[in-house]
Amino acid sequence: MTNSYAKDQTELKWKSVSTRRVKDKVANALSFVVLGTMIVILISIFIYVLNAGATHITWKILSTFGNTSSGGVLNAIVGTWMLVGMGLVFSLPPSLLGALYIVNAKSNGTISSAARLFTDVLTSVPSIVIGLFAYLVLVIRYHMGFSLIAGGLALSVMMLPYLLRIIEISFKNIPKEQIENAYALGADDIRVASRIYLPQAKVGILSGILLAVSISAGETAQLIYSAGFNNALPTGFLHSQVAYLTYVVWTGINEPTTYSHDLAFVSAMILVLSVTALILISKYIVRRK
Amino acid sequence: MEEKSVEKVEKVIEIEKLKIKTKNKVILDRVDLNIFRNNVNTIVGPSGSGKSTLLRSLNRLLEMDPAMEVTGDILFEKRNIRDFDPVELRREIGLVFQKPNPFPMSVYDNVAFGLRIQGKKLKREEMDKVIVQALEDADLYEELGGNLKQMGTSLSGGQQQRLCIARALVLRPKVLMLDEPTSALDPIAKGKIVDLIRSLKQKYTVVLVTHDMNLTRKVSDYTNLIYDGKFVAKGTGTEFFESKIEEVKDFLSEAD
Repeated sequence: MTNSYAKDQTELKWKSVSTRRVKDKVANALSFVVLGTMIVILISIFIYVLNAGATHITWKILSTFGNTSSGGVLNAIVGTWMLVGMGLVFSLPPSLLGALYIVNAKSNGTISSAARLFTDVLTSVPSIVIGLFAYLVLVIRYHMGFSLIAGGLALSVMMLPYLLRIIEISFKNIPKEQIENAYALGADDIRVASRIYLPQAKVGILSGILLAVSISAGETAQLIYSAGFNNALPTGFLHSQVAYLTYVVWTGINEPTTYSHDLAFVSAMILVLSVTALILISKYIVRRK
Repeated sequence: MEEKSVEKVEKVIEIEKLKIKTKNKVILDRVDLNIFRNNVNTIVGPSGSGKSTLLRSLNRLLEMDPAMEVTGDILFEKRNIRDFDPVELRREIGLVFQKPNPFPMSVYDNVAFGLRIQGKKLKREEMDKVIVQALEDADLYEELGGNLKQMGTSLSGGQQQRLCIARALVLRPKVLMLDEPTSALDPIAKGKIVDLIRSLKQKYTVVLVTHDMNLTRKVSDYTNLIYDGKFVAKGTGTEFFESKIEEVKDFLSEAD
């Protein structure tokens, strides 16, 4: 009886081991297929966009202003970075202050939790809704018109949650003892922020900025409702529309001329290359740290 | 046992009925304790008995934690610490933490940190002199061979601890609090800290928190036992170790 029991146990054990191995292999294979599919799709998009853009790129397109059916995309390239820069101006200071508030031990826990919840919700708000809000409130209610300020503010709403979360994580990575040491040496909150938090989290802050910039450079929906489009560069911060690359991609491809399609492909290529470069730079910076 | 021995020594800090608690737990319960000028005042007790919490309450660092509720009085030079600006108070009562934690900057900048955050504009030669003096007081200058450009984080554990002491000393505090300064050190580094503590009391009032009774025997002038959040006994030098109080005897037998 003992032998039979031991045999049964051994068989059960082997069955269980072999079932686990099969499950493990199936799960691995599925993961591999999903990952492989994603990589293939990504590389296909990358190659397609680069190929289409490189085929049609000319010096004239890169160096002249245009209107999505004629001329070039220089106004859209410059306008994109002006909008992104303006978005950063509006989103970086509140992100830094918000992250400092959240990590400060003296802060009210309820307010910190509410801030986190608010940023999580903000991340999931569709960009078209942010655009509509920007249009109704900034463009119409506050008479900003389609402009750099309205576009920058609309972009900043999208940048803020990313920046806040990444900066908060960077601050939290600073050893707690160093913060306490600074306070124990007689530093006040402002000195602790300027001498400990900011210098030590600068790499994290920079990578957060690059990520937020790369995401927002590819946005269209908020800008359609807030920045409009301009055949040249904006002449001021308010009531002067701004061109941007995603608009050229969106409009150019819908127009019936081959040249418009060329402009769309070139714009798409510039966007993909810029965003890839920014992501690679941020990864390099983080790795160097 | 303590009254006769200390009646003529000046009290720098007087703690009266200090109670520290969180929502669910009493950490210190009605503690009365005095810190005497130019002496090594040691607070001993088992881990978790509230020694470090007591230190953090003396320079109001405990206020950083909103969960802590503090009642009772702490007088620093006869003035309630609640009447001090916390930033000013922390410059008067320096604190060196258990784990040496230099800032990721040069030895020079580490020591200069406290002066710079105070906005003190010293001339370069004057600043150099003050920093060298603090490092000499912390018995570190000679050992570094004058190389103050090296990173503070690249020093050995014992050197880092003495760098943290120098960083506190440069502000010329009246009281220097050391929280378990030898707990993370090897015997040689420990020996240097013992010598350093002995020399520091010439210029400073030292408050030492430790559960290392060997260290206490070697350096302590006044020893206070905190047991389970309550102040139990105090005594000068050898008196403490010969105490007949049950908790002291229990603690000493466990600690040894």
